[in-house]
Amino acid sequence: MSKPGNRAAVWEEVGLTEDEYGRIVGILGREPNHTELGMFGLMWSEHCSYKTSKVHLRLLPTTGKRIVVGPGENAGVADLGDGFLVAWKMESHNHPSAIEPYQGAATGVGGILRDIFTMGARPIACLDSLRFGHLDTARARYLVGGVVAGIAGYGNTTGIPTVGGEIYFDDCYRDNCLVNVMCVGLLHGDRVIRGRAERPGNVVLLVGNRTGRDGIHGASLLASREFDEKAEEMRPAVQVADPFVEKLLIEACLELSTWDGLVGINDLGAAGLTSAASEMASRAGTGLDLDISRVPRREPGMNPYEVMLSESQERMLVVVKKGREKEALDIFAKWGLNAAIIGKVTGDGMLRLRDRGNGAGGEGDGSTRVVAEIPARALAHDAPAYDRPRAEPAYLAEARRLDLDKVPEPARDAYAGVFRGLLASPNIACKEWVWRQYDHMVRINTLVLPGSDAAVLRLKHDEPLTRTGEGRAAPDAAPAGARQATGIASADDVAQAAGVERGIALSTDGNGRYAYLDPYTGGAQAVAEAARNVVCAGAEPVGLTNCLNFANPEDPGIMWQFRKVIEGMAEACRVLETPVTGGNVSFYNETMDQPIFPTPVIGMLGYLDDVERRMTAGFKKAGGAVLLAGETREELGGSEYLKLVTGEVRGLPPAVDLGREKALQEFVLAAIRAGLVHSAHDCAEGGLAVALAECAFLAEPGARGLDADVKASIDPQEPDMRLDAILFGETQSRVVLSCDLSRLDTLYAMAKKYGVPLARLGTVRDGRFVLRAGKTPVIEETTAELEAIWRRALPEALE
Amino acid sequence: MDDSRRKLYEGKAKIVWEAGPGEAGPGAEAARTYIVEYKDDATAFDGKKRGRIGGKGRVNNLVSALLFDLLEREGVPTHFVRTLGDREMLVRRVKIIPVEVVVRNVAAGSLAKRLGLEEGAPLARTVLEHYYKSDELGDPLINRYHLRTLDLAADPEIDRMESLALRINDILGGALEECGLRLIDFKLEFGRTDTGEVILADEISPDTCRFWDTETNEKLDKDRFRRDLGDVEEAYEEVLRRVTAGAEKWRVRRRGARASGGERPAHARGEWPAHARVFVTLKSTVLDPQGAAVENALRTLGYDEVKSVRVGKFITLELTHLSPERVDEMCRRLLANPVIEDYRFEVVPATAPPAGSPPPGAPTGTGGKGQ
Amino acid sequence: MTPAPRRVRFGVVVFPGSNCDADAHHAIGNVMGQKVEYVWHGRTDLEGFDCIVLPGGFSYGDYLRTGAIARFSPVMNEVARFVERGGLVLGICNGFQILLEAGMLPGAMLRNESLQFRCLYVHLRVENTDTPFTRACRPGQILRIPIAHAEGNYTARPEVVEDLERTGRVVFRYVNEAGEATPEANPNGSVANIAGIVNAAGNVLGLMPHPERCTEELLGSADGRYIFESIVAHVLAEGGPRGPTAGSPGGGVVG
Repeated sequence: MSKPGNRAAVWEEVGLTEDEYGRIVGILGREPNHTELGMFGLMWSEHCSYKTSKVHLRLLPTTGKRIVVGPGENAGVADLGDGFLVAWKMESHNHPSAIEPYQGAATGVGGILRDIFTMGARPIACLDSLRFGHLDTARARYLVGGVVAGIAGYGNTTGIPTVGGEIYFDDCYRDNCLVNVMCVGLLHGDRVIRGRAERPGNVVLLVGNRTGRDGIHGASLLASREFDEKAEEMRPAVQVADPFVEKLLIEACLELSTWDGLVGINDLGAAGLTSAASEMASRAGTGLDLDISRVPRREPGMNPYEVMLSESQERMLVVVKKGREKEALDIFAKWGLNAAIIGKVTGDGMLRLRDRGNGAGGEGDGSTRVVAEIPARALAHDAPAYDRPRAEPAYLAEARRLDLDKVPEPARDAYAGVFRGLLASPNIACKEWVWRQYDHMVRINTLVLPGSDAAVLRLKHDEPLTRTGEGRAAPDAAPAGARQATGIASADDVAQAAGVERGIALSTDGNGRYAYLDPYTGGAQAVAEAARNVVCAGAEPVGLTNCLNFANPEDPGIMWQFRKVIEGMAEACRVLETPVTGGNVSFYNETMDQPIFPTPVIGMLGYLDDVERRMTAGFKKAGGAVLLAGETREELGGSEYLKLVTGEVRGLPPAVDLGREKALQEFVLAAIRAGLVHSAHDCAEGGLAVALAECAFLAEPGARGLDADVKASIDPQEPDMRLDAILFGETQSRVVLSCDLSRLDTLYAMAKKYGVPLARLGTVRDGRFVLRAGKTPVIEETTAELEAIWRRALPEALE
Repeated sequence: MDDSRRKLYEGKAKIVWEAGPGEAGPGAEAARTYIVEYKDDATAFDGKKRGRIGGKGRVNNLVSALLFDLLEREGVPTHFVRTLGDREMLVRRVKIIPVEVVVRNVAAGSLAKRLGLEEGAPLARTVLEHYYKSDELGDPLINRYHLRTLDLAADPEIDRMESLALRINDILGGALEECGLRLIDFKLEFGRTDTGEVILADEISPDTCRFWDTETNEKLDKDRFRRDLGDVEEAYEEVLRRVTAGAEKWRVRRRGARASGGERPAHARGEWPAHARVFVTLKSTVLDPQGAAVENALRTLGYDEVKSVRVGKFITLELTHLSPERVDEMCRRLLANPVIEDYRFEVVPATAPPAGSPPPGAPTGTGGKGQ
Repeated sequence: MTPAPRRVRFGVVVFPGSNCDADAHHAIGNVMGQKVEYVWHGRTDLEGFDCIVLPGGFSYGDYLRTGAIARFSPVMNEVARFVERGGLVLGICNGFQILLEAGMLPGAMLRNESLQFRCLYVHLRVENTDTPFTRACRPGQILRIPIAHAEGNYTARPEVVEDLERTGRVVFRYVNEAGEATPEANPNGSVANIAGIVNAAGNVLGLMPHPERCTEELLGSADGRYIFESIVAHVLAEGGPRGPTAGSPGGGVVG
């Protein structure tokens, strides 16, 4: 079947090396045929096999007291007690989004939702971490508009609220935007569904959209090669999203997950049926015997190669107990979904594919012949692993050099102008333009809406896994009866538990600039900030998922960045006790041959044992004290301010002292839980001045402003610190708090106990925003005027 | 010129652009289209002879557009979407199959030379030839065996190109006759869409066809340039004039055919599979926010001639048999919302009728109008 | 044993693609304490219900037009009969769009003027308190209720709008915090800032905002309760729909 001509092209055509080809011949004991080689090419691609990254990913801690399922399954799962299990996972869809932003982003959302409901979890929230080029090019604006609309189109239609995320702009992402999507799901009881094809004789079904030629070689090849102009020609590889079918799949699969005939489910993502089938078999140590002529097709004449490699969206592979297949088909029929029995589980560990007839579209005599036969494990788990060469990249020494003497401090009267400039920077400005396009309230769990440090959702005891009573004629059969049948708490149970509702806090974070200037610090900082954000919402950090976005791993400098970022993350995970439950790696992210900043993105899950104790960033009451927990050091490297005034990303990023960080987070969480503070807000991009402004912008009516001395925030060892560093430096481990004056003493005592510096900066006032250095005002404006700049910047840049 | 456009390819007679933002409509459409710009540059004998023909780009663009439109209406899939001004057209993105398909009705050019036929001698049977598109090799003549060996196209694709080429010959031969043009021979190129469908691409113009005047056999094509016959520009303009006039006639005839039900072809009589194309637009009295946004965008891009834009839906139906009444009912009940939308539809045969049945005439459509 | 107070019986229709059905179920059952059950789109019997809710979402993906396909669901024929019998129907967001497509309310929906999906809290002015859906409200009361839609730009022929206004059938209007129906307060371009209307008989309400999203203070507003409380008060005072047969099931629903 393979093309005539140069043999050397055979493995190159599917993106493998000669060594890898030799390995395949060794595994099979013969030369692979065209279909088999294509399957190996996909499964052993960087995107599917993590062959370059897996030796490093092992450094990350993956176990913790609440972690039930770690990496390796479709998503991680944490047990939050009270019968609440939460599944969460993040994935990148960078290259497809750069090529076709709407469909690329939409199919990215679809893929991550499937990873969650595959586990038997009801998806309850999505967050998106996005990176684009500066908005002064039409291309960047086109990508932003398309990606945001694509996320909205998919999330809104499927009824999963998009509750948060982040968006940053830097020209390194101009051609290669980053679209990292996280989904969170809720399970009841202990029934986690695994993607395993257990027990020979069980029956394999393919469910959902029909299989077409779309996306053959799509996600995996796109994500496993350099991103250049040629990628444009790969546009046909991008699939079209069908959120309606996804919504039906969610309902059908969740209904299935409460049925005792179910064995396992896996979604068909990158590498399509090849990946789903080999993973399900390999995880269970079984084999699969599939008749691919039974795969429902959208186009005639597809050959086995095309069927196995198609990346048509919204499809699931389902294994059910032998003899129960009719019931499964009934459930899918009820939801109006295509489902076909395509084979069975075997005991020999082989993924065996049969086809009927004599090839493309031909009518045969009805007999089948084997068209591929590969050990499932070889495809899914035995890809080679490489420890590619690493070397400190040449740019670092120069980029880290920052001579602050050459960056003059603004004149006293120029600070207001600089401050306005920062508020208008798209990296700092209000992101409402983005999230108002997302339905962030559906499922009525969102208690802290987008815009604060972390989104907070309540966990409903009766969050329905399935819609009970459907299809039944007798009105009295539901809801009570059906609740019993599915083990879901009744309204009375809920009432008994009333008074305490559990919740989760969610945040995504990552600063590519910091990681560019110091990958180790950048890795640690991303974890620290994500944890800090959920702490500021009043939640205890539980664990994290992540996307690691990097350039070409064949460049030793990039590999060095990758390793250092992981080392930094690993250390932060250990100290902050937030294990990694999964994630993905995206390599080959480049703009015009220039690598993107190494960009780790962390998706943190936090737990609140009482949602009444949730916290938000905005001030609550005029007259309250404004405080800073943590202290400001002279750190301007890598800051948004430095970029604004010098146009450069340069210097050492702010240091991350994980011991301080841990103490700070424990103090802030204790203060919130003790009901001592009115608000808590992380100091991030733009430094203290921007953080204080955001506290005022997000405040309750009557508390929209302050009068504060920023010099009170500094390390007493450095009394002569530059004022621009105090205002705009991005020192880590700092949180702005506000509290009632009567609570001050308790709060100081508590801070002392935790060993955290706590300084009062000033007082919440309504209407005016005044920052002083000592007694002298540096910035003195009406809050409304500043807020208008901050709110208008993004819509104006985009419309 | 919009500087946000990216040039993808420049050939002897055309430039292919990637549409700039907004140029090709919303992102989804832009993602599936290119812009073809027709140049005035002329070359012949594989680039050995070069020159310019004033206005050629415009003529080729508009003639191609009219003929593509005709073919589309006759059910031949082409890459043509719409014209963008005089020299440019928006086309569907395809991967060009590197094979030129030449159809010959009358001996001329290289065929006459190669086979020693007298130029102008009608051929007993239509001749179909393949040429391998390769500048280095000088576009050699090849046959199906060569095509397979070079893996230029799959067998079903070759079949498809050949049957489309012959069908196009039938359609164009008759239609151009009405314009006073004899279709001596012509060259086609095909492309694969992202779904793998093979459709007609490139152009159909005096650059790629030999047109002789039906009365005088005067040459009205690029041979005037190749052979230095003079009046090249005039000949091109004449072709455009005649094809434009012809297009009017074709339209009238389509409407006529609609009226005279007795002469409807098989597919329109409900005896043959058909495609219905339904167009749904917002009523003129209803504000169209999408249209307003597109109109605004077009003006911003400098298209001052745009007076108004209405955005609608285009729906194709594959039918086992045709009943215009039922299509109309589908429109009223589901496809359009009569409160805010108007609709119309037209019908084209799905495939050529079997041998023995009359060839399809002009496409028959039955229009409907919402309340 | 003392008899429990009569609870009103709600049905929440589940179309393929409905996604606010569970929210309505939660708000009505767990928060308002009423009887509620899901009604599958293929169901053809609505006996015993007092109020049918057509929830928000993207029925059939909102492909073709919002609500265009859902209105052909078998249950919709039954909903029409239910309305004739005097039953209450509440169409929220996509439910409103379905009611328009089904011709049970006049007019149609266009895409939002911004051409974007909008999810935000809006202020609504109660224009008519003499309906089963607003009897618990004060005249002119301002409610804070979220919207979440891409096609909520209500339109109708001028004479239809005039008739709606004249007969008090515009029930909710988008206003600003001060209660003024300004263009800035209009989130989608809707004619006359219309957010919700009733049919001539007054027993069918369609509105774009989501009252089921704000029945608990925890969520940021509990103003949605007014609408559900109105329905409950109406049914308790006036009784449920006329049953096609006497003695409908469901524990004391009086015809």
